[in-house]
Parts: sequence; structure tokens; C-alpha cells
Amino acid sequence: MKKRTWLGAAALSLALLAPSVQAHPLWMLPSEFNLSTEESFWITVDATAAHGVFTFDKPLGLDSVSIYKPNGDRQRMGSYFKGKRRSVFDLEIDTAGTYKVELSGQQRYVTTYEIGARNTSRRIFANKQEAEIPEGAKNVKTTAVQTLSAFYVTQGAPSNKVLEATGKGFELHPLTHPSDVVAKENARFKFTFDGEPLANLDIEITPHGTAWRNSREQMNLKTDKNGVVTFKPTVVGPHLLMTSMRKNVKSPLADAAGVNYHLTFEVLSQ
Amino acid sequence: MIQTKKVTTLAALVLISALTSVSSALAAEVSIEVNLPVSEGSMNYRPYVAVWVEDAQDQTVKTIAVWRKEADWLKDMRRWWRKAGRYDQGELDSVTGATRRPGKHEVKWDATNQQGEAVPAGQYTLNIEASREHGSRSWVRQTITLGKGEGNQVYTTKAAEELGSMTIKVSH
Repeated sequence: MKKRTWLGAAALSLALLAPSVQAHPLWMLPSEFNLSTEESFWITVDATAAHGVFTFDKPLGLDSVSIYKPNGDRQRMGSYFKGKRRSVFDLEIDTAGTYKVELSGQQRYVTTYEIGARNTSRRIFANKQEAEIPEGAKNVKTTAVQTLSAFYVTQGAPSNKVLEATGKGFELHPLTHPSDVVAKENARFKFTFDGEPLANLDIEITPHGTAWRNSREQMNLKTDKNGVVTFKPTVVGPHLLMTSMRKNVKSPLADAAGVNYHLTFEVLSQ
Repeated sequence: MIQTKKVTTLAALVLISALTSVSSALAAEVSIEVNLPVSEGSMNYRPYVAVWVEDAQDQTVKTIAVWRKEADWLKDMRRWWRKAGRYDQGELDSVTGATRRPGKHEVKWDATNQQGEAVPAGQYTLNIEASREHGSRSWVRQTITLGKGEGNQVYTTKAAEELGSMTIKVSH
């Protein structure tokens, strides 16, 4: 009995400390994605870790949210509210163009291995140098995992400064601007890691409202050899795009890099 | 001196428009009778309305009218905002007006584009979009043909929630 409680507590703390490892979707949902205001306007944003699209489950710490104005400058994050089921922050939009809001979790190292006669899977939250691997462990692999969650909000016409490629890490290239995805029209996003196209990447796109329908209506897609995913949404409103990238890297700390990416975007009316 | 310059400019303008009309051979006028229904209930605010033209490839040609109040809700004319309004090419200043009462309001298109140049003959779509606070959004479109040997045309659109049945007349 005592042991079980301890295990439960350990599992819970793992879930809270390392949501990225659990691949729990982390998403932010703004009240508006497109604005026609002429003066400054406040939008409000919900943030949660949940499998429902968009239903609340667990609140998030929002200290790692970065806000980029249309000219690329950083905007300070104000105070936020962390409730039992979700976190909330407000954001003042006072400049025409596209803002980027990104929640970027800390990079975490996970070392997995198999051990014993039954090849039991084990994992330790440590990098290659620090992980204490027992003797006889097989298939030892260390992955550096990062969780990203992003959305774009546009006042007036969409702009591209915050979407410019840097050639570093995981990046979205807006062949279709995220503020210009239209129902029943093809949209195309390209994904790269350190500038290299991510070919054959699994992409899931789910329209809002999973709690009120039977089918999840998730589109299961793959990027082509150029790292481009093409899709034609049928439903208007907010959608969640999720993907999970794993790539072997040469590093003294890890064998592979992993990124769990979540993009919230609006599908506009025809 | 100033007078002469003006005359020269005028002559040039006449020449340009003569040339344009030769190439397009279009002297069409389109009249749209925007029909705003009477709304029931206590919260019957006036709708925001946009009237604009798209070409056969759904590219915006010209915004003809925008009846609105605060800019905040222009985006609720969803298609117009996405395709035209947010790229503001001066239409907001030139064609904008106050919201209108229920009833019929005539709007005219002189077959020119946003820059005031005559459009080539071909197929066009007239778009009327209305969005009402505490109400619905309606988008009605009608394809018309300018030139191409087509004569006068009269169309009647189907009634939508925020837009009554409307008559569209094309005269060449």
C-alpha cells in the first residue's frame, strides 16, 4: 500500500515535471487570430496540457512564453493566471502585422534502455554523460526532447518577419501563411530542422470541438520529400497541428534530438 | 500657364481612357439592390455590410461599398476582410459609410477596378456580405458576364438570414 502511494506520487511528479516526455499536447488558444482593430486591442489566451481539442486539463507555467511583435522585437509577458485546469494570459496587440507567440519548454534528456532476461524497458531523465546505466543494459539511447507550442495572431494584413527562417532548430515555413488558411482550399506548411527539410514526418491536424462529437476527425498526414505537408481543411475555426520529430544527432550529450510541436491556427471562412 | 497644363493633362486622360475603352470595349454598369431585412427581437442592431467584386479566379477587383461603425468588427465580414479589407488599398476611405436601416439600398459598380481603370470583358462575381452583432453572417454571390456579346442581364438572389432577396442588373 505504502509502495503504491510512492509510485503514484512519482508518476505524478514525472508527469508534471516532464510533460514533453509524456507527449501530452500543450496548446495555447487565443480569443482571436485575426483582428481588424485600428488601435490597440487585448486578446486573451488559454493554455493547457490536454488531449482534447480544445478542452482544458492541466495548467501550464507560462514563464517560457515568448511574444514576438511584427517587427521581430520581443514583447514582455505580463502577469498570468494559473488555475486548476488551465492558465490564462492577456496580450495587447497594438501593431499591424503578424505576432508570434511561442511556449518553448526546456530541453530535457531522456535515456532509455532495456535490461534483464525479459528486456524490460527503462528510462532515466539524464543525458549521456550523467545517466547511470546498469551493467548489461541493451539498446541504450539518449534523446534531447523539447516541446514547442505556438500560434500567430494578425492585425490587418499578414506579415512574415516573425516567420523568417533562421536555419536553427525546428522551424515552420509558411508556404501558406498561418493567418491565411481557408476552408476547402489547399494549405501548405513546410518543416525543417537546422535548415534540413523534415521528410516523411507524421502530422496530425484536428479541428476544434472533439468533446462534442464522436469521431476525433483528425487528419493523419505526412510531409513529402521536401518537408511539405498539404491539407485541405473542411471545418472553419481553430485547429491543432501536432507533430513529433526524432532525428539522430552527433552530440556528447545525446544520440537523438526530439521536438514535440503544437501549432494552433484558425481555418477561415471561404 | 496653369490652365494650359490642366488642359494637356485632361487631353492625355481622354486619350488614355479612349485607348482603354478600345481594348476592353466595356461601357457596362451594374446595379445591386442590397436588401436588408427587418430583424426581430430586442437586440436588432444594424448589420455591417460589404459589397465587392471578384474576377473569375476569385481575385478581388474592387470594393464597392462598406457600411460599418467600429473597425473592430470589420473582420466579421469574414470573406471581405480576408480577401480585401485587411490589405486596405484605400477602399476603406473611399467607399465606407454608416450602417443602413432595413430596406433596399441601391449600389452601383461602373465596371472599374480599385485603381479606377475599366476592367476587361469576362466573368465577374458580385459579393454581398452582411454580419450583425447578436445576429448572423450571410454571404451571397452572383456571377455576371461583362461584354463578350452578352446583353443586359437581371438576376435575383435567394434570400439569406441577413440579406433579403436582391436584384442585380447589368446594362451594357
